[in-house]
Amino acid sequence: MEIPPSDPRNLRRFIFALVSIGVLLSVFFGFSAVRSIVRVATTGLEKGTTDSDAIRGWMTVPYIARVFELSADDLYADIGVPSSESDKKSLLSLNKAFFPGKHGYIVGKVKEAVRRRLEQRTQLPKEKP
Amino acid sequence: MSAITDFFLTSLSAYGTPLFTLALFLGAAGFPVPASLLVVAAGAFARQGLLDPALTALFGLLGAVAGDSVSFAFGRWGGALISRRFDSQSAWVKTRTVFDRNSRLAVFLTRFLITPAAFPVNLMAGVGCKYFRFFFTILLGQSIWIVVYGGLGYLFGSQWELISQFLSDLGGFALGIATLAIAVIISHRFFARKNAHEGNQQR
Repeated sequence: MEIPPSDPRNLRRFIFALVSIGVLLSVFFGFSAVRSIVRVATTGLEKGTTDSDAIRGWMTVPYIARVFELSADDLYADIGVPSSESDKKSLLSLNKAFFPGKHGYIVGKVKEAVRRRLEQRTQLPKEKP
Repeated sequence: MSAITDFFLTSLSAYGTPLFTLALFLGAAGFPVPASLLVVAAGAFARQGLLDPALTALFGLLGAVAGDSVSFAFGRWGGALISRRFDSQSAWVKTRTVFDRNSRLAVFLTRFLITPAAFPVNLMAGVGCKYFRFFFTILLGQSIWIVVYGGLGYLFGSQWELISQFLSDLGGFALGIATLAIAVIISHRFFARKNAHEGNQQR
């Protein structure tokens, strides 16, 4: 590898800058990566688990319905949003369109609806006999 | 997550493989698309039955290779203009010589490890590298990227956001290590040259 600046003083500055940037990047991202590994280890990764707290604003209602194996129409009814033309919209977009003043309202409503319907689903088989 | 990331995730869950292909194409062509995160997310969506794993991987690979080829072409056209202007300057000639010598490794590693540097490397490769060699290197690198990142998303399912964060941090860490390695190589050459110069003077 050739040396870009030819003046030794400039070269020293260049090396110092490279080392500083390298150390900063390595330390920052190294710690962050270790923190991610620790979180992975402590949260206990289970394949395909679904938790209603994992619902995010970018998700669409059909996506949530599919992941949690629920009916999209039931979820639309629970949150009080018409299903027509809403399938491709995120929860954040639906919130802006239908509840403009209430920040995070739809995400909260969907979490609550999913939790309730999951509970109902687990209770139903017990009640049958 | 940023608004751009949210937008692409919503679109991926709503439009599936065509959007995935387009996003990887745009990301490789230099647009600010969270491509690595989308590959991990696509793996998770495939596990959830939303996407077909093989088809999505194949079209994603096509999109990424096409995008890389476009940015390579930018480098080829822009490089001709730059070369006309800077070919007389030693710094530019040295930079090109160093890059040409290590271009395949740089192209390969920036596909899946130091991904933020992929676009500038494509431009630089366009200046002096042969497309045929570039094509096979990106094909191999992008295949590893899609299989490993997408595979992790598939494997860890609902926890894909955590995995994506880890992979992003790993890329930043690798960039830091690469910067330090370059600094060490340059220092080593500098001191070796200095010692040789002083040795000659003493004689």
